[in-house]
Amino acid sequence: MATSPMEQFEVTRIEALPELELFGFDVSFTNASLWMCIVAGAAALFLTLGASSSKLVPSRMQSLAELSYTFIADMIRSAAGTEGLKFFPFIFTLFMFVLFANLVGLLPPIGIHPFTITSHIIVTFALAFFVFLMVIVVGFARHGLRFLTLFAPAVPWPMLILMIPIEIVSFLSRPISLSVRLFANMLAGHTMLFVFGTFVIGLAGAGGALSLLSIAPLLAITAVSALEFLIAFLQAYVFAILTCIYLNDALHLHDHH
Amino acid sequence: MSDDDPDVRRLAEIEERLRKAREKRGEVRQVEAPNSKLGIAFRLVTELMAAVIVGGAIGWGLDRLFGTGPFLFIVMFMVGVTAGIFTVVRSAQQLNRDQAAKDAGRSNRE
Repeated sequence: MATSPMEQFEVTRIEALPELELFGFDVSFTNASLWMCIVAGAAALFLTLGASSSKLVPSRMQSLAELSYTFIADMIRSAAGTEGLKFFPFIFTLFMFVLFANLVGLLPPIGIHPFTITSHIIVTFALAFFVFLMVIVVGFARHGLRFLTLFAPAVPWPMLILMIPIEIVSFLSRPISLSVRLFANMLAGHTMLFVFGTFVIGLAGAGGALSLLSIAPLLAITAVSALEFLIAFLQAYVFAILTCIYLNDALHLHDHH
Repeated sequence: MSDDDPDVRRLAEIEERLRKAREKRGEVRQVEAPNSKLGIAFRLVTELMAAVIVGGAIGWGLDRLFGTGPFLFIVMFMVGVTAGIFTVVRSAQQLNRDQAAKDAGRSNRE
């Protein structure tokens, strides 16, 4: 029985598998790696099943898959224009991976503890960093050195001394804010669920009138669970739309002013 | 990709026809983007925070590099705060524009 609210985020090596080492780093297969594979597999399975029997009148599965497709396509079109649709595969993959990671983490413990990979900053930061790199590469590929004018807004030139560092810091902060937001939401949500859970068990075990009181945290945990499902979807959406907005900056320099 | 590419022109043509057809039918988008206040609040808070952290970290790193005491840290921290406020204001303006566009679209349909 877990006693600390942080125990659910611990990364442990899977005992049945051998220990691996690469260049002095421990690269053993952990529960985080396992759940990453499960998430990627689940997302792939969901879409394959949805697309396998395409009918004019869609089944429920097909309808869900098509809905997620049009949802992301609409989002990219409105945030980054029709040109942004070239990046549909990347953004759709990102969205599905984050969404499934968030949702899988909400599964009840079914013999094995479902690990929320997006509750680790290094995972979300790696995703955000790829977005960041892609924006830079796309920007330079499209505009060459003119991409650097992203850091020079249209102001009188003495102001540029102040504005250029500000714009650079603002640009560099993007991967940080993108990753911290997702990670903090997941970490806070799961910690909250655990704390409310211990209240229920603690009060119910106290006996007498206190046991009756345990209904209050039970109601709270129900509400919080519902909220967590909303947040799981919302954060995946926010991650994807901010990727589109950053991409839009690289595709259409200065259009957002 | 150039504008004389026949495929690109055709695609734009189809796009335009689709848009007109949709408008005529008054078709409502199937999926509305979730516009939760909680999501917006969280987005703005992290943007402000991240810029301050990045600014401070750059200043701290440069101070260690040049041994210039706390001065660059203070300067870059201020730059970070300013950058954070800039980012938040810009995001808020963008959100306002999106909302205005959505409202305009809605009143057109009605």
